Amino acid sequence: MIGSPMYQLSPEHLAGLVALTVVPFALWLLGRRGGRGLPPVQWVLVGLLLGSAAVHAGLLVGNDHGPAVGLLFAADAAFLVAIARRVLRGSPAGRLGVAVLVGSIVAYWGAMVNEPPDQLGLVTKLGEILALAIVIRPTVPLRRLGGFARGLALCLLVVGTTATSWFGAFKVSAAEPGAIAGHHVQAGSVPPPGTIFPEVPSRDPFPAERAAAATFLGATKLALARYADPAVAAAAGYQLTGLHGIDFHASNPAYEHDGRTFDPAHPEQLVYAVAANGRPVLLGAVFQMQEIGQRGPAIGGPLTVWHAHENVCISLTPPGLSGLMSPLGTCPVGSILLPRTADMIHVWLVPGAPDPFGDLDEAWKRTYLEAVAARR
Amino acid sequence: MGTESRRTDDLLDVARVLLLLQGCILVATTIESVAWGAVFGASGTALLSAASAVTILVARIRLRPDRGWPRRLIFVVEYVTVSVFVIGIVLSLVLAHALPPLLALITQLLLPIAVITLLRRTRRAPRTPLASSHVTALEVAS
Repeated sequence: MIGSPMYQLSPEHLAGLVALTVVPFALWLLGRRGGRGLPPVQWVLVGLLLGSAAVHAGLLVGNDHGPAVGLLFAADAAFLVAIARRVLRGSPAGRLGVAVLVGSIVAYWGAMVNEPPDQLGLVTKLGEILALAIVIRPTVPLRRLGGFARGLALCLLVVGTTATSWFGAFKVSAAEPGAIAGHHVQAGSVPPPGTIFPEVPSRDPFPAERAAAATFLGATKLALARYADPAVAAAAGYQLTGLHGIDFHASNPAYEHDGRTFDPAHPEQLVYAVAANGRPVLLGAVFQMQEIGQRGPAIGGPLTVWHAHENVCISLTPPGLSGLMSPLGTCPVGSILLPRTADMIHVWLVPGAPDPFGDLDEAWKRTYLEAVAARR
Repeated sequence: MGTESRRTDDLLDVARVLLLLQGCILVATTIESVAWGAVFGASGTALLSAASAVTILVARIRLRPDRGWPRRLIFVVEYVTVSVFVIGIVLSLVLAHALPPLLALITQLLLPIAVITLLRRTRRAPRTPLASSHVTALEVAS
């Protein structure tokens, strides 16, 4: 299965990770050579600076962004080592420290325009932000406004790193050749954050696969027609409380572990939308495997590609989906992180859906709902 | 006595820096929660995230060796964070046979545990007029 690069370690960055393992040994050696008088916070700073320097030096090995970027990596590593050396000698990191750390963080934001973030990059930036927090912390009493401004600046760097990482992760998933439209997959594409796909051979479906997919779609439409009335669905156990929006998933817990998978009459979820005139419209269904990691039956070959979700946050107050894991590894407070869900597939029942087993484009959905509202 | 006090101040210095980073991460999480809340309709988590961010950032400013309430507030947030995350890890291992990504382990487990450890190792010294005025000046500065 392929997931978003944001939650993984890029193979290109493996050398940086290996270089990082040298840092604890270097710190131990420096401690033995007389750095014992340094306060703990300065040791943390030295460790973070050397860690970032090691990663940047390691990235030179796998760098495929050209000599200019390689030079920037080398310069960054050299400056970081120089600042660490100053701190070890008891001098403050000073303006050079602030400039190099802020420069390195902001350069990372710029890199997000062309490539997705990965775990090593984000760990490095988090370390640099922490290093900056140490460098800019006041050593002499400041006025309240000065302390607030420094804290605010640091928070802006954290928010900026988070925002640009989301941007980079979603941009690459939309820009790669063979782009994904929502849940739909083409071979060679990069999934957006939160979605994982199997590796699918790039080929047309065989006639038997087309026929199987069409038969299943027909059977599902027939079996689920009764759920056009939400009251009937609610009576069958689908949870429709708070039905709103144009992508409301009503699950039926009784069907999630009933031993039936991909049964046209017993989908685990129904998908509704509320049309402009306020009437609910049944758009489709979601079929889900019982066990996480269990592969779904791809009866239509490349037409029926199952997917799963990764790093989703489940709220406990009240229970429900509360988001995706942030680039910095957090979920909204009061949520549990679930690294992976069971495999699932959408089946769209609305007439004329461009891809009945893939993703239903939001613009298409809105146009359809407007037409439905106008008819009634 | 002086060495002990210096050690306490040094460790609190590290704790304050970690709390500033954690508070900023919680601010970013709150912004994300508001965005997710608009998509999924879960507004409770945004409120909890905002409350946690404010708690950490305010308690950090008020953190002193001889003051109990800021560290109690910080402990509440840290223990809740660690507990919820550990429940998530157990569920992940049982249901999905997978561990969360590295960043989640750092920010939701390592960072809170580091803060808890540092605060537990800082002794609550009796308050003296000199220490009090000195710390108040630093408090304003931070």
